[in-house]
Amino acid sequence: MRKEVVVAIALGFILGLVITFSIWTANKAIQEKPAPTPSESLPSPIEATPTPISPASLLQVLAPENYFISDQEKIKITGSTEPGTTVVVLFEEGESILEADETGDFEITIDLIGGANRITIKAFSPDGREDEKTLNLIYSTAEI
Amino acid sequence: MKKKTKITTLLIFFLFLTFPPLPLAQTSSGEAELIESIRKKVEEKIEEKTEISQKQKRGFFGQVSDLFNQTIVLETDQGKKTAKIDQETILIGANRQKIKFEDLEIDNYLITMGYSQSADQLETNRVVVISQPKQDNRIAVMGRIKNLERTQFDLEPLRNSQSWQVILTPKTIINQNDAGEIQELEPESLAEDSLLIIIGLSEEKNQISAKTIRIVTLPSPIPESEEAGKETETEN
Repeated sequence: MRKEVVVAIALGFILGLVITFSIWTANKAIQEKPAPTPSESLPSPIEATPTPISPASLLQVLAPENYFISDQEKIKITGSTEPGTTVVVLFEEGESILEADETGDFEITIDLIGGANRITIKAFSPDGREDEKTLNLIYSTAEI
Repeated sequence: MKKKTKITTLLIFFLFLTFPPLPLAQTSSGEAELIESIRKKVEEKIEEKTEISQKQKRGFFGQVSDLFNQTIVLETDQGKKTAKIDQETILIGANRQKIKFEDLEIDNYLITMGYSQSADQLETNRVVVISQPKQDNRIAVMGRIKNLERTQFDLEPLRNSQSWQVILTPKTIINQNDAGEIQELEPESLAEDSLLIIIGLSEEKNQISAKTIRIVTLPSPIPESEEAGKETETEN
């Protein structure tokens, strides 16, 4: 065997080793990178603060939000309670009694008076539990 | 010479083979950059959404408890609320005339409308002086009829001990929800131990002048024999 061939084989072997080492190092670097923890994977500039719901709470008013300004005289109030619960709504120009449906949801459309409206919503469960929420709403057609 | 060329070519070939690991090593830093850019975009989106939701159209109403530095402090039924005004805020007096901040007085009853920055603060665009709403004496209570008489009875709550004396008036409406339909009833329909929800006016302690009485009908439990029948049907 010629001397040049031996040198070429030796160099080829060394280069092969270098390549293998490079690939191994690169793979190791990728694998060793720590997986982002759940808190890192989701940005959290604002900490989510779920509305605390008391276990004893019987009534939730879903819409509208408190201090909402409506430009319509009629407004739909929706909420959630337990099935079989009776809900009383006291609004400025009247009152209404309604029953929650089989899923516990209820909704009612009421009339607002111009300006300030204080709406009281009260739930009565058949076993005597009660819960009450107050909604302060404003009816105004003025441009805000 | 030819062999030297072959060896050089071979060496160059092997040298090229050493490059692929480099991009692989860069992938990890590329991923980090990608994650970082996604994170920034998500943060921007959340900030944008938060700003929109925080600046919702809102209004407070209540009695003025303090006035200072273009700021109105209102005492509302849900605590103190602050309304900040600026030069563009429109202030309307009780007679619908335009007024200035200096015209406002402690104890005025106001509606302030604008955009809320927090649950208790408002950037106010419009302020309206109104007359103080009358106290609402309406209440709603639930309980069972006791000591029933022609025009009055006692209402015994299911859970607490406070009972009510209920006065029936000629205007009292008595009704019942019968399978989704509201049926109006006569006062004679009231019976001892009936479960009621009453909306009325309470102007004296523990006394209600009834406006509306709803007789509550509880869903009757399924008789055992019927349940057994259902089970049998299911089994068959």
